[in-house]
Amino acid sequence: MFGHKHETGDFEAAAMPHLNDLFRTATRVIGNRSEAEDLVQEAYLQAWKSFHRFEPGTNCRAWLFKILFHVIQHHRRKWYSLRSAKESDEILMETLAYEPPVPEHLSDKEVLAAFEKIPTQYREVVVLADVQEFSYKEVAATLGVPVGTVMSRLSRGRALLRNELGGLAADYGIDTREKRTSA
Amino acid sequence: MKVIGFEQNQCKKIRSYLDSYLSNELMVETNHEVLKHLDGCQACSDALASRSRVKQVLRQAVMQVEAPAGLRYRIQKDIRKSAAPVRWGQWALVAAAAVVLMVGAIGVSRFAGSRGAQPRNERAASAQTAELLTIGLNDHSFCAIDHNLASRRFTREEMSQKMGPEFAGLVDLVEQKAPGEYEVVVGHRCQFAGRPFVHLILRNQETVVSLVITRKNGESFPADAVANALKASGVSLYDSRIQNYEVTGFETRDYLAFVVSNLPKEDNVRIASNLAPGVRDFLTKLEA
Repeated sequence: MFGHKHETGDFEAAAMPHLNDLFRTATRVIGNRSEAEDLVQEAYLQAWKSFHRFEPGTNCRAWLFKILFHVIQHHRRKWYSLRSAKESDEILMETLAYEPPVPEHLSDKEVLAAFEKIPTQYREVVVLADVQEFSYKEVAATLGVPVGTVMSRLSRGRALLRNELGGLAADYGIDTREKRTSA
Repeated sequence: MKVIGFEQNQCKKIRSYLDSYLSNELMVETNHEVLKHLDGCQACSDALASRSRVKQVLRQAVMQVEAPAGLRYRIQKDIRKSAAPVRWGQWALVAAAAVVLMVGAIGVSRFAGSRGAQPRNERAASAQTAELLTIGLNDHSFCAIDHNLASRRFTREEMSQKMGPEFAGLVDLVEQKAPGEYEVVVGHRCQFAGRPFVHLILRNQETVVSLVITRKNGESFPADAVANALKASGVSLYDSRIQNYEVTGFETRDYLAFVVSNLPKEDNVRIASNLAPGVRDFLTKLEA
């Protein structure tokens, strides 16, 4: 308690370099920049309050992400209900059998808009594994789910994103029929 | 009849590995198998290239975004504000609290003195306790939180039906014993990782608490666990904070029971203390 003043420097040096990564992740998971800002701010405050429990030399980035997802889950329980996984399972039955072609030139805006259409529980795993490059084990610890769940959600999430981007291919006039039958 | 050739089967198998291959999570042997197959299969190589490209474009698009400068400023302000030195007016309160804590600590150390300190044994017991408590946490997290069952509200009839005649009586018991501000909103049987659970969800506005019960599978809480000091009417309670959840557990001969929430420790233990004696008696009757 009395060492706080001394520690603010330590905390900022360890935690602030990860601000961009936390903000990017929160924005993609929540889908709203201003809510993401509030949640990241709250996560940093919680991290600061429990900084005395953080063991120096361990992974500060993973620790911060864990706190961020705790804050996000709390926020979600308060304001939203998750889209059921069932609906996307049904979509998957139709889409898993083939690899839709991905258009050559995609703008960031198009990619992010396609990503936004994926249910949250898949989006959070994809962003942690594919963008933040956490291992399956780290993603599992961050979200508090088993590694098997991470693997299946990641596989489904990626397939759904391919499907969304494949939809863009059709919009661009790329023929997807031949590929559909070849796999 | 649809005939699937060897090659097609092989492609199907390799495609199922592609996601883990892409994440660098395959075992060395499987990695070799994938590489060998990709060498001779254009369709699977194309599929991998496409998946890899999707990963790359997503990463690139997400990484473009930067946190606004104002956010960094607000965070630093928060931190420095909460770290500001305590003013003189508050020193008296802090000093009084310190005295109370010291007196409490002396009392506790005298009470616990006879047990003797065995840090290594205690650490092992704590790890074993945390492992058992995770069983209850997993079901709470999967069912009440991930699948958002906590937002549902079952009628008493639905709960009785879903819990079956053996456990239906738990709903009234838990409603009666839980602190007055909590209400049982869900009672059902569920499964997580192949393990069956009886699961009741209690709510107090936005606070969600689970009571999770499962049959023992040869497990027991370690007899010398430190948390064993917590007792509720003769029931030993075992507690740990895991992944930002507070989990308090107890056991009977055949069952493990857990109270899980994101409340502070003292609140979660208070709810578990209220529930444990009644639930223990209920389960003991089933064992007879």
